[in-house]
Amino acid sequence: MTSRDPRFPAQVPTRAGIGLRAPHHREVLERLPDVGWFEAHSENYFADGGGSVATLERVREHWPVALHGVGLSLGSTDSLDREHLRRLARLVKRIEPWAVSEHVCWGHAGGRHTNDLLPMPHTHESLRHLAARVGELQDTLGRQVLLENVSSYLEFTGAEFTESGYLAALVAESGCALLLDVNNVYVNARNHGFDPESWFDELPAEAVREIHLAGHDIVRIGNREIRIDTHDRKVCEEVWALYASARRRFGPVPTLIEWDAALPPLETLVAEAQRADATR
Amino acid sequence: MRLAELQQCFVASLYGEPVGLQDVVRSEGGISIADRVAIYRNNLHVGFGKALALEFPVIAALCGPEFFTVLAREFQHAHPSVSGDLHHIGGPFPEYLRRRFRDSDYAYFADVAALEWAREESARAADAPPLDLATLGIIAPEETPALRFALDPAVRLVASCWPVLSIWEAHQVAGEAQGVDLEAGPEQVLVRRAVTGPALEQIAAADLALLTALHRGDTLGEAFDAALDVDPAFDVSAALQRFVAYGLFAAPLDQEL
Repeated sequence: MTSRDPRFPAQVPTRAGIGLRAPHHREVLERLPDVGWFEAHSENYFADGGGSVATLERVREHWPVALHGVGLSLGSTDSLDREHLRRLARLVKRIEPWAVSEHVCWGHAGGRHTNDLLPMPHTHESLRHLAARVGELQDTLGRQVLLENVSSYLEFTGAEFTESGYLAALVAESGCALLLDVNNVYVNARNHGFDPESWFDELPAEAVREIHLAGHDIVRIGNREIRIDTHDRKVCEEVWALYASARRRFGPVPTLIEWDAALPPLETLVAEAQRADATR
Repeated sequence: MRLAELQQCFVASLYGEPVGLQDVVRSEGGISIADRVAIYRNNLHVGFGKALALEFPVIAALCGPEFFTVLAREFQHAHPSVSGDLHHIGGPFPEYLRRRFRDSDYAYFADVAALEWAREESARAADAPPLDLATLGIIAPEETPALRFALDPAVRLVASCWPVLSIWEAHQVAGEAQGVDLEAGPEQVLVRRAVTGPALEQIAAADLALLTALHRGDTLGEAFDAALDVDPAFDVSAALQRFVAYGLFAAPLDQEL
């Protein structure tokens, strides 16, 4: 791994990366694991100063970094949090990420936050709202952002689009790109009963710029099952198979292994990233 | 239903208000709407509780997992998250604990929580170049009493009638926390930024008076008087040397050097 000038323009990674998590900070900088890039949750580096953001700057000296937001809640009808946006813009300037991403979701209403990624109702009204917010984000940052599909355990009534049709319309209306979470597609396909390949058919292939992979849990409710996106285990075989299909459709876009809860040793994450690189 | 109304209804339901969602959520797949919504409600409580435990690990250990879960949920009900950045949720927690456990055996929880939150704030505060001894040396001695200093943004001061730092330290070694005598008396704690992160240190009551006075913008002379009021034998210049060496002073205020 060669050391990069942190001011050098961000390059798009050519191999799979892993999520940067605080318990691994020290080990990552000491061992410099053989992965293509790191993704950082933007909000974890919103501090004005101190060790966390200094660590991210050091990581950025060695690898391309993407900033992945989990809290901007673009789909909420409450006004956009200007302070949140200001901190994100400050971090983007400081880190020079190769990608900035957020979710196709909402998370608060009437000032009460859930700090969750709640699914959008797939209506024309919500699409207009979300596309305008995505436009505002892109204008503020002066760059295109990637929007990610989320897992869902329910659907709202009155849908006027399929989920992937909604994503395609969002790309057309806002000019954003897509972060395709293959695990979330699989989870939703099982939870809501659709064919993931048909789901892929509706996506504008050229808009897919990044792929996420993660593990999920299966919970029984009565005699039914529901899949919960937990990011606490290895990617399952069915998702690996769907990932191979996504690679054929969308090309070798940068892939990320996401793991947040029950964090394993760093080597486990590196091995998952290597498996992603070996998947064709 | 309009998007804004849908979002209001759904969040109200997650926060436990009696809102019907049968017109909002689609019936599908043999799992009831209530069971589907319960997944999100569980995420709301579990996510909040985990984030709170990360910010207040000593309070979480003092409570034990079961009681902490209950406490976190009560606190969340009283103080719902108001930001997309979960790092903010702990701000009202010390005062919440103060009211919740006033006049009880757990009255000291509030001060332990205040110390943990001071440590969090210190870790996240802005970086500022410290004033060095050489800079202080060029200030004419006769002008010194009139000087005002800004303290480093990462400095926090916590004063308690309980031995808060001893309690905190007893929980820093993995395994069984050692017992601390709650009657051991008051402790004053200086939280500052060291090379490896926030550093906590017990300071004398006169040190606290000195730093508190400087923090609120008093002149050095006034701060010295405040410290000497607490302890007439206090060595103010030695204290000043020590705090400058720690990098506690960020810059002189309203004074051209």
